[in-house]
Amino acid sequence: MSQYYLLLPEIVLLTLGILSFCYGFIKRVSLHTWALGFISITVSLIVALFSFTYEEFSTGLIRINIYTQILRLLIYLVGAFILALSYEEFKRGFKNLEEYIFLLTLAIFGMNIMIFANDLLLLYLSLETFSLSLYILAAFYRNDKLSIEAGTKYFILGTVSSIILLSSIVFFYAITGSTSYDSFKLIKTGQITSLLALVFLISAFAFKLSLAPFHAWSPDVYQGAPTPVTAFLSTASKVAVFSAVINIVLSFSSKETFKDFIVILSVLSMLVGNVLALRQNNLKRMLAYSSIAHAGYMFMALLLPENKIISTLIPYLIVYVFMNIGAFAFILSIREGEKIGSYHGVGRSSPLLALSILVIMFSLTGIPPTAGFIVKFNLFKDLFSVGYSGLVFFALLMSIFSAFYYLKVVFYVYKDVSALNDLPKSYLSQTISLMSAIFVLIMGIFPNMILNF
Amino acid sequence: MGIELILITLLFGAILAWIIKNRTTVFAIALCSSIVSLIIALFYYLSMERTIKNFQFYLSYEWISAWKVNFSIGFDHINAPFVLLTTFITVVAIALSIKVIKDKISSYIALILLLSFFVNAFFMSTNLLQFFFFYEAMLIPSVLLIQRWGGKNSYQAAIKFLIYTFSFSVFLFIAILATYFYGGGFDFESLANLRLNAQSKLLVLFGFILAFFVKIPIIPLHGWLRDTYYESPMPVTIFMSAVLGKMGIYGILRIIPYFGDIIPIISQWIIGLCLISFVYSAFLALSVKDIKVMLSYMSLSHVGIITAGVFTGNIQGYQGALLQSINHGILSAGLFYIAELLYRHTGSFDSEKFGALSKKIPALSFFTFALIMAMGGFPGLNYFNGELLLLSGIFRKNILLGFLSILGIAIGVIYLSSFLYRVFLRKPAGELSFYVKDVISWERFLLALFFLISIYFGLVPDFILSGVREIILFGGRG
Repeated sequence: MSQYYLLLPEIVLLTLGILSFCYGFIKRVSLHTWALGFISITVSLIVALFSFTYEEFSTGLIRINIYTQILRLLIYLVGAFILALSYEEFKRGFKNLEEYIFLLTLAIFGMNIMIFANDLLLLYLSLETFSLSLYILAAFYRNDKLSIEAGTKYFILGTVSSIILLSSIVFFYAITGSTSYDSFKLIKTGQITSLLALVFLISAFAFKLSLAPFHAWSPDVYQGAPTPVTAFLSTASKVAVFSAVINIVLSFSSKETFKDFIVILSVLSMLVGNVLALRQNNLKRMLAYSSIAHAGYMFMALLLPENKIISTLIPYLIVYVFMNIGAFAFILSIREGEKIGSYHGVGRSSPLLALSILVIMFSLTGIPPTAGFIVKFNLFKDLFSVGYSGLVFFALLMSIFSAFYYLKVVFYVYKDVSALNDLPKSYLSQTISLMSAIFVLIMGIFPNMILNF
Repeated sequence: MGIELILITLLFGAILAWIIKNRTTVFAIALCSSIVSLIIALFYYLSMERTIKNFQFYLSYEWISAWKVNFSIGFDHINAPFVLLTTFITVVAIALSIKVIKDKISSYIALILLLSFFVNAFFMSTNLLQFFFFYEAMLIPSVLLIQRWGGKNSYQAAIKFLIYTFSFSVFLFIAILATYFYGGGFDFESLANLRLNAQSKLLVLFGFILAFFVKIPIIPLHGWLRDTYYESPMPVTIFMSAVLGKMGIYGILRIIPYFGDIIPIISQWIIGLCLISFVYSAFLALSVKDIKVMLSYMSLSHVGIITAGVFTGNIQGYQGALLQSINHGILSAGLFYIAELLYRHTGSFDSEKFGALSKKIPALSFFTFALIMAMGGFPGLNYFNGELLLLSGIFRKNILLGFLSILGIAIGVIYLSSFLYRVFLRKPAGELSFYVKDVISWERFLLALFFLISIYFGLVPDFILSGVREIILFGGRG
């Protein structure tokens, strides 16, 4: 019975999601649908808060401990933010809102199951649950060529990665005779089958995390998809996949086999992400490359010893999520917000919004007193202590590159122009942007709150 | 209540100035908070115990328990003069801004006060992490100040400044990480017990030196200087030249005693580099006609010899560097102030277009002459003492290097006097001389203050140096 209790938030979410979908489908009143969707996510968030336990719990299929529960709360929070951001979007003429919200709910459900999965099959099922929802969500602007292209591209490449994941599961099954994470300890290194299984597993995850050289989909998908969906893609799905990766890495007894993979993938991602972002004038595209780079930084954390992985990666994920939500909220609060040219005069017409993007961009660069600096310092410090000083140096060099393109946005925002950009009054996205900026700033000044894991 | 009041006053002023939009009120707030912080800094400076070597008025709050770092501030005899300088220059910069800055005044003042807050917190910090934290945090307000209120190419200047400082702070980052792991903590004291061999210790030292040399800057790393100083609005230029450059010098002053065992290996080369920077930029200053560029290169030139003094490894050099950083901050602020006064009514920094001003604007001519005399090392004024200490330090180290520094000082006198001649004495007058007006009353008071400080520090260098009489340098050899 207790495992149902632990999964109560997800059960509530799914039930409420289906109910509100039926209601919305029958009534077709967008505001009601939106409100119901928001309520169902908030209720699940509250239920998840109340069912928070400090005990570890594990069955064959799921495993629950403190950090997975924190990530679950994070995903619910992201879901609530994304719905709030979508409200602005749908006011501008968004059709089929009930489907949109239902798909979003389903994706959140899938992600949460993925966080708890302790079995490769459950992992696969939950991954497909949220990926299929995301494919549709990415192509949600059915009249927009770019959006269709984004959805198709994401679908095709995503399917390939699913196949790779499946074959990896097959290999694991062939070696151990089980699909549970617990059987990873039985794997002997040196066999060709186990190597293949590992390579396939890492490539499948690298695809979902958009690590170079599996990153090719992400700029196009980020650009084409509706902006709230892009925000969702770049935050929640990364959180979910990263937590699955953490779970799997923690289940292995020795990490010697895939240390080299991790180094190569993270170095490539940092290089590709930071260098290709330099010449982007579309902020969504730029954030796609930036999220490739950040995934590279975070992926390095897997090189650390077990207790350090959680204590560095979880703060990084939390801060990363807030930075990206803030940046996308900024995009949504400006007309044609993707184009960097439309930021002229924002600093004058709405100083608070400009301040929030200032804080967020400096945080993405990793300059104190923002939380971006704290989490990066935390990660690099631990990496340095286990002897990866060369890697740390490379990562730092790459973060110098990032200063160019992040701060370009800030300079555009504060550039003086005679004709001011009259902003549409989208208070909701502006508030979300400001809230994330304040969060990032406070966590940067008082880092104790996020660093104690 | 203690020295954190300096920081609180500045931060509070910044927030208040950002909220209030009225121009007069904003300036009143800014002047109030900067003058109050100056008074507090002066009060604590004067009530410092001269005999205690450690941090005084030490305050510590729990900050990042996961890394075992506290937020701790304190005064000792090295950083207190710098805090005094920073708070003083903040007042000067804000006073100058009243005439110079025309638009977006409330965010401008907020950023200046925030910058001053970060820099003061940097000087006061007693551990390396906090030191690094504020070293980088300072970039945000300064970059915005350059970009938003600067000249035509302010975007390039700001990004250049940011990239130089940010990228070379990577070395500082690595050096601090190395200190944390091999020295056992983020405290300055852990630099003393680095468990490393001489070669790795040298690398750590180079990490610090590279980062600080960009900030000071020393010649091969000075690429950002001209554009940044030239494109910034004048109050920001004053702040950068007088205070931000000193951050690097302070950093070196702070870390150098801990590397006493390996400094003798490299000190010759580094002093040589600093003095080449000194002489080379003196030639640069000699070659330009633009007053602001000339003063920028002058500033670049003088920090060269100051840095050389730190590396001499004897007490004269160390004292001279400390004293001269403060003197240089005050005098270069004064000279930049005068350049702005010339610019205000003419809109030009071209020294060829002025001339024959000494009768027309006697007060300004007097102060310019006084400050230039001071800068040239006239006995009795402040620069003389510092130069004497620096020179004796360098001569004790190596006679050849001493001659190099004499050469730099001689060229310094030449470009300063030729500046004075071209702008104030030369006849016939240039086309812009007609428009120049004399200083008005309260600005005259400010210039007189520069002059008085110059005389006072010239007569009483002990005001700054009394605490560093017998500092233990390089294993007691100092």
